[in-house]
Amino acid sequence: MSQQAVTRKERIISPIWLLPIIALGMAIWLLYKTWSEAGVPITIDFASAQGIVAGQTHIYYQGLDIGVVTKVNLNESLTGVQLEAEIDRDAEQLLTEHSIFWLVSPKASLTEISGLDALVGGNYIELQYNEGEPALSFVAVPEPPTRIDGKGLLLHLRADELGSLDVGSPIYFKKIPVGEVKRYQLDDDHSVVMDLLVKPEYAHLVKDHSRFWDVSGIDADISLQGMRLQSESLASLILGGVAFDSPDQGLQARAGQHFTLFEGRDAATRLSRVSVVTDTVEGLNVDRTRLRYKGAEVGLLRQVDYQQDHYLLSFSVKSEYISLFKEDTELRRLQPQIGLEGVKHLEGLLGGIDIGVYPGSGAPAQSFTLSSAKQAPPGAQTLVLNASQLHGIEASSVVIYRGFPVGGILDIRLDGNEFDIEIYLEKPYLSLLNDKSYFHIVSPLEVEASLFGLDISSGGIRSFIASPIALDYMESTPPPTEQRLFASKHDAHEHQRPSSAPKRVSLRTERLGSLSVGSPVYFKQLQVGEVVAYQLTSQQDVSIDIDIYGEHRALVTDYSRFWHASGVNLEINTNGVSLQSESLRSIALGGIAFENLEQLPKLSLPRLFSTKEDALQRRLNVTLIAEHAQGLKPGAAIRYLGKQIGRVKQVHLADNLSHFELDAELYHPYSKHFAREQSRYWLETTELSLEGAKNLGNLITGNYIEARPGHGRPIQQFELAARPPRYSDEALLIRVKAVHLASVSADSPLLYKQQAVGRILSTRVISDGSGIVAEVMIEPEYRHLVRANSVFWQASGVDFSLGFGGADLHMDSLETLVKGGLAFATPESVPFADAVTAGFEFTLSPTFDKTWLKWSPSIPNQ
Amino acid sequence: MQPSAKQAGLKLCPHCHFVQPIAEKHCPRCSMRTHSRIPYSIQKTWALIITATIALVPANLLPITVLSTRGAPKPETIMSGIINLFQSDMPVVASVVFIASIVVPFAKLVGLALILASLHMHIELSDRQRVQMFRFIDFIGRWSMLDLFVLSIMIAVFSHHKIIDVAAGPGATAFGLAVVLTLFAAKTLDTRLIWDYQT
Repeated sequence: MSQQAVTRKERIISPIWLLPIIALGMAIWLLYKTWSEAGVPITIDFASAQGIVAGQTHIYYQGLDIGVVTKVNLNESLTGVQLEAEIDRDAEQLLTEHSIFWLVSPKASLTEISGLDALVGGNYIELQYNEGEPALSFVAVPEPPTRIDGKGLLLHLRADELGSLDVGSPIYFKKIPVGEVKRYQLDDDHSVVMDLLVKPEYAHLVKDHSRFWDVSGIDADISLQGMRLQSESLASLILGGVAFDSPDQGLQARAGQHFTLFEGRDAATRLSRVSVVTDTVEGLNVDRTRLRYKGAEVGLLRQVDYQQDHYLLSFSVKSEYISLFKEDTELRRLQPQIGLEGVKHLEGLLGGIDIGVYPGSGAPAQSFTLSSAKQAPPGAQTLVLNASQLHGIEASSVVIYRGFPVGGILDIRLDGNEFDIEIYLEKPYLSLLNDKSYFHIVSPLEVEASLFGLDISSGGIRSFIASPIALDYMESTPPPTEQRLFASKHDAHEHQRPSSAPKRVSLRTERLGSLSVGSPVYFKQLQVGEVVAYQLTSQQDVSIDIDIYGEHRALVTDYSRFWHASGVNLEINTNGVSLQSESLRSIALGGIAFENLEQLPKLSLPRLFSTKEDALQRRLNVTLIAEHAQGLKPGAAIRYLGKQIGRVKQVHLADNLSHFELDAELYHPYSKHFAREQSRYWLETTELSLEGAKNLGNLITGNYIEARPGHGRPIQQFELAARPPRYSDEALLIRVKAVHLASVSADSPLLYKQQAVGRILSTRVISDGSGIVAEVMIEPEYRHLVRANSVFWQASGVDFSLGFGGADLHMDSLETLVKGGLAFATPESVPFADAVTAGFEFTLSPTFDKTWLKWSPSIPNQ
Repeated sequence: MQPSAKQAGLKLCPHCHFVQPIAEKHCPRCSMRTHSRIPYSIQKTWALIITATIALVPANLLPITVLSTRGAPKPETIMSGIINLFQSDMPVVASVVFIASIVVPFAKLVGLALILASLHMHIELSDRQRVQMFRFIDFIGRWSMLDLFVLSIMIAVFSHHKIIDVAAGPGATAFGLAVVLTLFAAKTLDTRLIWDYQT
C-alpha cells in the first residue's frame, strides 16, 4: 500500500521542470537577439588603411553609427586593403550597389575645416546611400562625393583652370553672394567644368549673355600710374569666388547652360578684337602690353599665337576706341627711352613695351602689322649716310643742328667696308636740308692734354651717351690769313719770349733728386729758367747748371737761395699730414725754386737746398739736452702758451750715454725770441696730483716741450728741464727759520688765508744745528703781502682741540694734511711795514694764535 | 551491506537532526516537515542539469565581457578570452581559466548526469565510484564562479572609465546562471538514493 502510494507520488511531475523551459526560452531569445544585433558583414576596398583600425573605425550614415570595421586585410592583388565591416542589421537596406563609402579624416585648409570630430574619435568611414540593388562588397572613393542637393539654377562654367576656386566658392552678383560652386570636374578637352548653383531667388539675374569672371583673391594692378587693389570680399580672398554681370537685354539663362569663366573683370568686359602680325614678341606680355592712343589705354594684349614664322597677337580693344582702327592705322612699339631730352614710355621698362596706335583713314580693319624695326615718326624724311667709321654713333644717337635735336637714327648697317646709316629728319626741320648740307660726327670730348695744359671741347653731355651727328652748312669762309699755327697756347707764349741770353748759374747739391735736363726753375711759382746740365763733382757733390731766361736774369742775385721743388713733400706725423708741391709739372719733371732773402747772409757758393725751409732758414735748429726723454718722440711739439713754435726732429743718446740730445727746430718768427740765453725749456708730462690732473692729453699725443722766451745772446743749445721752473724770476725768495719743522718739506705750500701763495723750495738744517731754515718762494703777484712784521707759523695737518665748549677741528687744507706747510699773516699797521726783499729771514712762531687768522688788512701792491 | 535508516523505519530531521519514525510527517521536536528522502530529488536534479546545459550554450557563444578601450567596445566570449590570454604568453592563466570556466561546468553536468543515469539505468558503477565522483563535483563546483568573480572586480574598478570600460556581456548572466544551477543540482541530488537503488 504504502509502496504504491510512494510510486504514485514519484510520478507527479515536479514544478521544477518549468525552469528548463524558461531557460530554454530565454536562451533562444538571447541567441536570437544576439544574431539580430550582429551586423551584416560587408567588405570595402580602400586604397590605404591609414587611420583605419579594426574594431575602432566606425561607419556612419548621416551621423549615425551604423557599423564598425572588424578586420583589415590586404587585398588579393596587394594594391590596397580590404576592410571587413559589420553593418547594423537595421541599416541593411543602405547597402546597395550604388552606395558610396569614403574615409573621413580631419582636414584643415584655408578653405575648409572638416572632419574635426575625427580628431577626437579617430577617422571614420562615411556612407552615402544611393538607390540600387543590394550589395555586400564595395569600393571606397578617395574623396567625399559632392552632390548637388537643394533648389536653384544649375549652370555649367567652363574655365581653363580651376584657379583658387573650390567647392563652396561663392558666386557674387554685385558683391551679394547668390550661389556657390557645387562641383567641378575635368572635361575631356582638359578644361575645367564647374557646376554652379544659383539660389532660386536670384536665378532671374543670370541672363543667357551674362559673363562670369573670377574674383578670387586680390586683383592688384600696379603700374607707373599707381596701384589699384581690388577684392570682392574677404571671403572671396580665402574661398575664391565667381562674379557675373546681368545685361539688361537677353533672356534668362536656361538651367544647365554653359558659360565661360573669364580671368577678371577686365577680361570679361565686352571688347572688340584686333589681330596684329609681328615678327617678334620681345617685350610684349600677355595681359600687360597695352594699345595706347595718345597715352590712353585702348586695348590689351590677350593672346599670342605662333604661326610658322611670325606671331599673331590678339588684342582686345575697348569698344569706344574701335573707330581708331582703320586700314591705314599704324601700330608702333613704344620703346622706352631714357635720354637727355627726357624719359619716354618709362612704363615699358617695367611692364613691357606698349604699342602705340596712330590712326589713319580707310575702311575699318581688324588686322594690322607691327614692325619690329624702328620707324621714323610720321612725316619724317629718311636719308642714308655713308661712313667709314662709326665713331660712337649708336642707334640712340640723334641728329642735331646747332646742338638742337632735329632727327634720329633708324638703322645702322655694314655694307661692305662702309656703314650705311639711315637717319630721319623730323617734319618741321626738313627745310634745313639743302645742297649745301653736310653731316659730321660730334665727338663727345675733344681733349688735347699735355703737361702744359688741357684743352677740352665737348659736344655736350648728350654726346657722351651716343655721339650725335651734326648737320652743318658749307659756308664760304674767307681764306685763312698767313699766320703761324701753334700747337697750343703754350707754344704761342714760348714763341713771344724775347731772345736775350740766359744767365747760367751753377748750383751744388748733395743729391740730384728727380731733376733732369729741362726741369723748370721757378721764381714765385713762375717758370724763369730750366736745368741745362748736371754732373758729379770731385767732392762727391752734384753740380747742376741752370739757365735763367734772359728777361729774368736779374732775378738771380747773391742772396738767391735755391731749393728742390721736386715732387711732393709729404710729411706725416702725430700732428697731422702736410702735403706740399710746387706745381703739377714739378711733380713729374722735378724742379728748382728760388727766392731772394737779403736778410740772410750771402752764400759763398750757390747751393741747392733740399727744402724751402732749409734754404730760407725758416727753421732754426736747436739742440736740447735732457736727463731723460720720457715720452718724447720725433715730431713732439715745442709750445709756448699753447701755440706750437717748433718741434723735435730727432731724439738720440749722447755719445757717453749720460744724457739725451734732442734735435729740434724752431719756426720762423719765434726762433729769435726763444733761442736766447735765458730761454727755458721743460718737459710737460701728464701729472696726477691732489691739486688736479694736468696735461691728460699727453697720454695720447705724447709729451711736449714748453718753452719760455728769454733775453740775452742768441744760442742754440739749451737744457731741457724735467719739470717746469719752480718759480718765476719775479718771485720773492725769503727764508723762514724754525727750531724744528715737522712734516714740512720741499714742495709744501705756503698759505695765506689758507690759500697757497707760495711754496717751500727746500729745507735744511742750519750748519750749527740751532734750527732749520726753509727756503720759501712767494709768487710774484703775492710778494707784497709779505711785510717785515708778518708772522709765520706751521700749518701742518689737523689742529684738534677739545674743550668745555666742544670740539674744535681746524685744518688748513687737504694738501697740508699730506704735505705739511707754512702759513703767514700780516698785521694791519699804519703805515704798513716795509715790503721785504729777497733773502729776508723770518722766524717761525712756535705757537699759533687764532687771532692771526682774523687779520685781514688791505695791503696795497706797490 | 549496512541497512539504511529508511530500511530501519527511521528518518532524520534535517534541521534538528532528531531521529524519528519514518511515518511521522512533522518532527516531534522542531515541528518541521520531514522527509525520508529529498522529494523529487532525481526530477529536480535532472531539471536543473538540463536548465544549466541550456544556459551554457549562450554562456559560451555570447560575449561574457565587453571591453571598451577609447570608446571602441570589444566583446569577448569565454573561449576568445582564453585564446587571447594564451596568445599573450600567459598559458598558466589561460589553463586555469579554461579549467574553471569550461572544463569544470561541463564536467559537473556530465558527472551529475552520469550519476543520475546510472541510478536510472543501473549502470554498473560501484557505490564508491559514484560517491567519489559526487564529492569531486561538489568540491570543484564553486571554482567555476572564478570567472564571474574576476569580471565583477574588473567592472567595479573600470566601470564607466573614459579610456577603458569593462561591462558584463549577456554571456556572463548565462554563465552565472549555469554555474548556480549546477550547484543547486548537486544539492538536490539526494546521495542516499545511491544506496536505495542498490538493492
